[in-house]
Amino acid sequence: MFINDKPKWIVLALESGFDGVFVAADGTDCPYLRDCTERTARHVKEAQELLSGKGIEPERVKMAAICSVCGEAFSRLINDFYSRLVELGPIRVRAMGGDISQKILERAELVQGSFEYDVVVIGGGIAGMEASLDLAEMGFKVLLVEREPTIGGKMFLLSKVFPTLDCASCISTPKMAAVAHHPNIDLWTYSEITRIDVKGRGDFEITILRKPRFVNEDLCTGCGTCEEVCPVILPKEYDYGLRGRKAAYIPFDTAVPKKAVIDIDKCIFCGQCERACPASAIDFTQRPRIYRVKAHAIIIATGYRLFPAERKVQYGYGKVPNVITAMQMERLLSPTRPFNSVLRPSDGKEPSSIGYVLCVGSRDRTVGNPRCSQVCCMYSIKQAQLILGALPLADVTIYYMDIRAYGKGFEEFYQKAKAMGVKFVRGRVARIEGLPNGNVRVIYEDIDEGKVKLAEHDLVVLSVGLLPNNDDILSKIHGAKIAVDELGFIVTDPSAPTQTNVEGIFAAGCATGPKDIPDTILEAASAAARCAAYLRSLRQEKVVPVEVVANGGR
Amino acid sequence: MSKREFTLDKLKRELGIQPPKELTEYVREITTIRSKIINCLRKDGELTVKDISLKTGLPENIVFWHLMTLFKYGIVEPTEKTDDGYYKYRLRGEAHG
Ligand code: SF4
Ligand code: SF4
Repeated sequence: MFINDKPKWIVLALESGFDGVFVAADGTDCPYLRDCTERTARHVKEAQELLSGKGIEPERVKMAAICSVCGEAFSRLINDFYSRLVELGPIRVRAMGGDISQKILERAELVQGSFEYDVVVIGGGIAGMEASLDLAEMGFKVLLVEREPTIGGKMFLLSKVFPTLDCASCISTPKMAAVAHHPNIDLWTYSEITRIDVKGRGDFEITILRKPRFVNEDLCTGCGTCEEVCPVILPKEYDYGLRGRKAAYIPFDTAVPKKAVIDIDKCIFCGQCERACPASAIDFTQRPRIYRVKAHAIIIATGYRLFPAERKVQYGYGKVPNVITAMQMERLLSPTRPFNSVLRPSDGKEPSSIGYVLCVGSRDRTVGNPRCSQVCCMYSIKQAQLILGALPLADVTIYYMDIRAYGKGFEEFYQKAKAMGVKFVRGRVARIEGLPNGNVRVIYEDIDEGKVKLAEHDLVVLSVGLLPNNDDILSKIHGAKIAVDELGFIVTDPSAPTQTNVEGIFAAGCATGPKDIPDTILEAASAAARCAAYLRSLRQEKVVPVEVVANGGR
Repeated sequence: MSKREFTLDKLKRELGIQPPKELTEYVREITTIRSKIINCLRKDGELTVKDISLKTGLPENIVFWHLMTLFKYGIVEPTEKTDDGYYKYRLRGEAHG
């Protein structure tokens, strides 16, 4: 290649599967090439333009003028760049498809008619389901909008809840069914809110995109034949990649609705699903539908996002196969687990020694989250107890800064774990490394002894923190601005909990900050009560009709 | 009997779309891996992840990931556990090899 092809080298690197390219130019005082920085910047800009045209994010290329004394600045730049790449996700998956759904999106049609609800609840996790059910019971018409193909949020993926050790899916599954069958609730799954206009008092216009499943929901019986025959196997999101799913799939056995969905960007158009479906339910001609819905109140229950563990580069997540997150361990311990037992991903061995690292991505200024995530100590203690139930001969060690067991029954739960033999080590983990036999080495500072120590485990679990999951929805609101705190969680009025700064918009669950399941349910019930009082006041003042009748179907 | 028109053909015709090359290559690759694992179990009966890895030359983590996917789709089942903590797996409904 010639020197002028340099931008193409960068593009080639990204097209060949590199997730990002960092270009280090010389400083402006370079004796060899005085205009090095300018020249390089031109190449980089050209590469970024080429990438945009190919649908690859231009931010995957970053340039800085760096000289030999810039060590600290360099490491900071690289860390920031790395974090951004982690947020963008791996390039290969993006490069596969994407164009197809774009083409399909261009076929979207606006659905005519009037759609009016008392309240639109955003998010079908435990908070959104609870708020919807409470409001529906009070007689209000609710539209529950969920982005994923099933409701249930994260709770139905969990094993048990602390400190009572009740089965999580036994609590959430009946609620999911109740939501689906309640006459006052319309449930729109696989649907995205694209715009919210705050027009006046009790007057919101919400634009919703209902993505095609490419499966006729009225005909699909959830038999799973399409999934059996589909040849495309991809990492299953609901099992956090621990095993595969097909391009045609039913998210879960207990999904609501239990209907198949086709991941069109990963489909190779072989047609096997359509030929095999006994109900003739597969319909590739489905188009996206856009609805404009009128609502008198909104509840935001968008939950949380897990801290991306890859950002703590020194902990090896994503590189050391036997370093997993606590959410992955939840899956391993749940009744719908992806493996036949608690096994480690590198070779399927039943681990006999498991280490937990607490506060990963919480109470950590270096990743921009100084706050405690409130639940990590307790879910780790719960998992430790469940592991000892499943693998009685295993050793479990928890590396912690301090244990925050502040709730009802929490201290006893912590003491019980100790009595069961869980080892608690007050230590700051500096680094985690993979060993050739698949084991994992933890290098930590033993705070009590003031020494650096090494430990070896079969499997290490990172207890990741909870981050806000609101950015997307908040950026869609026009005509008002919802206040958030410095981390991005929605701020609610302390004297009127769950009420945001915008009249008629309420928030509940982890959208307002990390919290455990009982507190989430409590807050959702409170949001529902407050929302009901608000809707009644609108009716009394005759701002809205006494009864909302329009209804948009399933 | 008139030939059934598949909605997929209609979509392909209307949009003029093809699956991306990277995707079809990826599917070819995983299909090969999957058949290697299944053939190995068909031939030798009960095997651990390590056994399959040695016989097929595939990395252990890849073998395990596919085995667990096959397990969840009901094609493979675990049998006994070895003393060093590894399970053996076999094809469901097949006699020991
Ligand atoms: S789409 Fe057809 S094959 Fe797939 S689950 Fe539904 S009824 Fe079964
Ligand atoms: S047409 Fe697509 S979804 Fe259907 S079986 Fe083939 S690859 Fe899977």
